[in-house]
Amino acid sequence: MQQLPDILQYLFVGLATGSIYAIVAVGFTIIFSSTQVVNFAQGEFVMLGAMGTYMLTTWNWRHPEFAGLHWPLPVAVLLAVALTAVVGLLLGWVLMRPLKNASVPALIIITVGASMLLQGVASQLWGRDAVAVEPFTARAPFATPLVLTLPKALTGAEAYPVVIEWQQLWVMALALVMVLGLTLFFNRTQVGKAMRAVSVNREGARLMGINVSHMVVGAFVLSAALGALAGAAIAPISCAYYNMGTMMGLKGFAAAIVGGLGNFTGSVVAGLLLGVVESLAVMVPGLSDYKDAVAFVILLAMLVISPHGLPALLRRGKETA
Amino acid sequence: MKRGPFFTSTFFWALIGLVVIAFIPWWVINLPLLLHHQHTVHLLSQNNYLLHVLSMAAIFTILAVGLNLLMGYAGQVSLGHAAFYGLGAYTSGILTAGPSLTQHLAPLLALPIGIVLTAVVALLIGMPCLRLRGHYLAMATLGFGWIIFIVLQQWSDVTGGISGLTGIPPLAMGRFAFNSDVKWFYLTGGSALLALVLCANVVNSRVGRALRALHGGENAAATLGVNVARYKVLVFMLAAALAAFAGSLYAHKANFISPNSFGFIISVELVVMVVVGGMASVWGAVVGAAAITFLFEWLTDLGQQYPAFQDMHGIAYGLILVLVMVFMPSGLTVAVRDLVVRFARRRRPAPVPHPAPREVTRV
Repeated sequence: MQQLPDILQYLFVGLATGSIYAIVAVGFTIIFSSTQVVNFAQGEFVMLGAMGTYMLTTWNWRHPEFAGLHWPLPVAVLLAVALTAVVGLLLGWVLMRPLKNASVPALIIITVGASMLLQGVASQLWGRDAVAVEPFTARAPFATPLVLTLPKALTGAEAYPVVIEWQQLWVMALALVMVLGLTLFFNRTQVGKAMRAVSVNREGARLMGINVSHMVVGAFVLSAALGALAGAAIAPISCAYYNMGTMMGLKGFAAAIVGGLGNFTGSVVAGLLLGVVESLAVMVPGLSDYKDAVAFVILLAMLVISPHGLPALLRRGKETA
Repeated sequence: MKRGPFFTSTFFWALIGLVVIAFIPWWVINLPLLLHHQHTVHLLSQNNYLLHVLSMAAIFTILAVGLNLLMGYAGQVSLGHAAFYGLGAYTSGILTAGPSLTQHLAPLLALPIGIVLTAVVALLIGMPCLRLRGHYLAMATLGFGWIIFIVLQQWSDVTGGISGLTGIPPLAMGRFAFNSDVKWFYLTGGSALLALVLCANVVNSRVGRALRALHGGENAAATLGVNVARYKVLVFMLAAALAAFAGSLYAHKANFISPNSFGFIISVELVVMVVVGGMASVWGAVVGAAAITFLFEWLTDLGQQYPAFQDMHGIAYGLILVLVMVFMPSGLTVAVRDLVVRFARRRRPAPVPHPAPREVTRV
């Protein structure tokens, strides 16, 4: 067990990355359950949140007359989230018309197109280079003594502690708050319940006096805001660049599928799992080059074995047992 | 089955295509020379940039026509079609010039191997996903596309990694090798025409009728005994096999392949071609492939001349996809064709007192 501290370290990093995948997966789930649209532009919301925060915190710093006009980070994050929510609103509005004809290829193609468009605009606005974004709390990473207290036999001779960055804690806390908040929103508030009603039966919800198009656009706005917040949170760890959304979106998307598309709890668990598996895969010799492929192999395997995700697979296993 | 008028038949259009393809290289190379009062040149050994672009358009036509069948008739999108294209190209490339192999195959043998391999892979992916309705094939192909892309980049012992594979020999039959742009244009143009005729025949065959029934309504088709999943898998395999064929042609034409020619953006580009060409329109695929190939070249040119317009491809593709799909879900050329037909009908009041038996021929 020479590698135990390593494993714990990777586990922690995996949980932090997994929290982001979970948030993105939840974003997919919100839109899918209210519209049956798989939003391939979900990753772009994350990118917009990260790049927007970058833009607003470093506002015009090249121009001397604007020097000192940096927005404070909380304001910048909130503004970036609001801007992304507007983009989400536009996307939802654009999709209203094709949604009525409900042709699956058309809907997929529109969201893919929106994703290309947003990426292109971002690369024109902010360039193609990766940029650094301020962390939420500018404090040095700390080392947990957790491992030091474990017996020597487990940790090996040169035991060293797990190093934790503050931003990773922020990301995990954010994911937790989001999950709790969304659970409350969907179960306790009128709007949340209306959204769930739309996802269960659109016609029925309409007959009950729910404005379906408002709910659909609302789902896009909510999902965009969540994605943007995740982007602002992950940017200090992973840097921000114009096509960061592709990978982020696709991994979150893989998590949403593994969690059973449309399953809220499933996608959170799957997101965390995916982050951990991906992080641990780096430790396997020869696999580290293919780290990014891990999520897609899991996605493909899941679709082949059980297209309705892990929950369906577990349920089936229970039934046959 | 009653035949339609001759000028709507596949045979007629194939004939026209053959004549056009036969003369294009002559026009492209000799007309500028004739305008400058110079002698015409012997054709087959000539190289020309425009012909190269036209060959690429032909290769993309082969890709687009398969994807068009899949999207138009099976109602499914492949978001990783460039992976099948890449599988064909890299199978050819590795078997004929792979650095890890001590003995290499002849290009003419590598080509069918790539096609069969890709079709089998498509079968494996398509079988589980196409039993279900909805987005599943799009997701699976998207994941598959990224896996192939990452493997092509990272498995450098076999694929040459990011720097790619070089020294792929051109296709050759005995002593005749395809070693000039004119020869390649004839080969790719002829292949594209073949692919178009194949697909047009598939559409007008028993399989095609089943597919059209699918297009009209899956439940109704299933009630009439159409094995929905089986036909979808068949179309998917055909699309993948055509993509592999195109990839193999590309590898032997370019003599060099690298992972970037088979990434996600290329998959999107192929979807743009189908969207422009029109869903369920076999001959529209030519229009889409040619239009986007030229748009790509033009945008690249523009970016080189004006730095402010660099990397506009993503924006252009995104705009086309969103606008066309929102306002004309059946695709650009199909929408334009329908508009023209409607306009023509309005000009001439319908003179048909009793409905004539109408043969549905999609051209």
